Amino acid sequence: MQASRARLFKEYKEVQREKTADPDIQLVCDDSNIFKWNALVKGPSETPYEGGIFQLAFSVPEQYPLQPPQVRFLTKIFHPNVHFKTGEICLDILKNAWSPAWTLQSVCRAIIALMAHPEPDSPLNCDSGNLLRSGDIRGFQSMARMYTKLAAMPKKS
Amino acid sequence: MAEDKASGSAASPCPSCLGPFLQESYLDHCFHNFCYNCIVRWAKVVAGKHSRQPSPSVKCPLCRTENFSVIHGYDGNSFRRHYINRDFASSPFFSEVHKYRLQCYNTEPDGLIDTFKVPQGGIEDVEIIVHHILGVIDSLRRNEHQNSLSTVERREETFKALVCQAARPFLAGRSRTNRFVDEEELFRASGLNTDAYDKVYMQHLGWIPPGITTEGIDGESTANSPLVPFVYIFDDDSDGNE
Repeated sequence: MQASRARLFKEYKEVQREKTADPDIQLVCDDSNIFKWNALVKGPSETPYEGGIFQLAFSVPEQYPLQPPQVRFLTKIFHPNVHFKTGEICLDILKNAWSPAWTLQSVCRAIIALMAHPEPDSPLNCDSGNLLRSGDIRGFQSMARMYTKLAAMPKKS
Repeated sequence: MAEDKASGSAASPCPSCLGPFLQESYLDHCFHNFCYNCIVRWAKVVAGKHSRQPSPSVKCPLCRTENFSVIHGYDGNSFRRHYINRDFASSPFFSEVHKYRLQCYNTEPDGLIDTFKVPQGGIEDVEIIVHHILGVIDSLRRNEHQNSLSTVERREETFKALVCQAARPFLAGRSRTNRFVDEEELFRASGLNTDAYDKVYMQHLGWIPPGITTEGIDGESTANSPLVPFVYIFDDDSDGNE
């Protein structure tokens, strides 16, 4: 069995076992392809994302864990480090700072941490970054809150 | 049973493959452990990103400490050391003779024992060993007259033990030292001088002796020497755990 498969299988078993351990993350492997994963993460509390549930799509390369997985938001999110259209995430550990000690689970945790602590100086969403950089916290929060309600929360009937 | 094993090893699996450690090895600065293959592969991936000037260090995947070598094969007495991105075969640091000598110490000795029949006893030619070991042997020979050790085998045994003791501080680990003594014995048994012995040895290894330099020497020597020599004999510190 190739190394990436073996490792993903280990992660799969770990996720099955820990299912109740981290209530903020739900990782699901594609039924037919162990290199495709989906995750649901809860928006961190005391942020505009609170109460929202955000879907992430993982695409794992053959060289994993020597190469990082590709992750993007499937749920629309207004965040300086997430591309508004594609959902691409600007996060160092998914690029240069990747290390094989990261797991899909810990990547999810890192993304939750990024949601709580945006880095407006390396923006993928310039509008969002500019609001934060100009000090308009209120403006940023209300935009982020609006998109959370629109895209990440159940519709009120 | 299999389940028990799996859960037991899961307590601290290799951080890279998440499986039980295979050839457990340690980084030299932070001492985090990984499978040997996992950490060496990771070091290669990192080096590949900066292909122009591969760094001689690798950051620990766990704590990002800079490390320069991977300690592995620890057996209680000795260990081996893999330096990050140091390709000795092409390093200008070593002369051809150095590389040859290093390769000798990383090759199985069996082949040449057939070439030279090793008789027991007899200390005629000790040119190859360093002055210190010479001194040890001299004192052994002087004492020999007083103690008058009975058999030839007994003498050979004592000789080996003493040379081992004398050489160990300079060679990493017991197996290396024994190897040195075996080499030395083989050399004495051959009855050849250093140059002639090296020629036979190189022929055995498939090397072209350094005397005959041709254009194709680089390709030839790397093709025939898949073994990467490590610098055990120059490692003072690697003997610390003895």
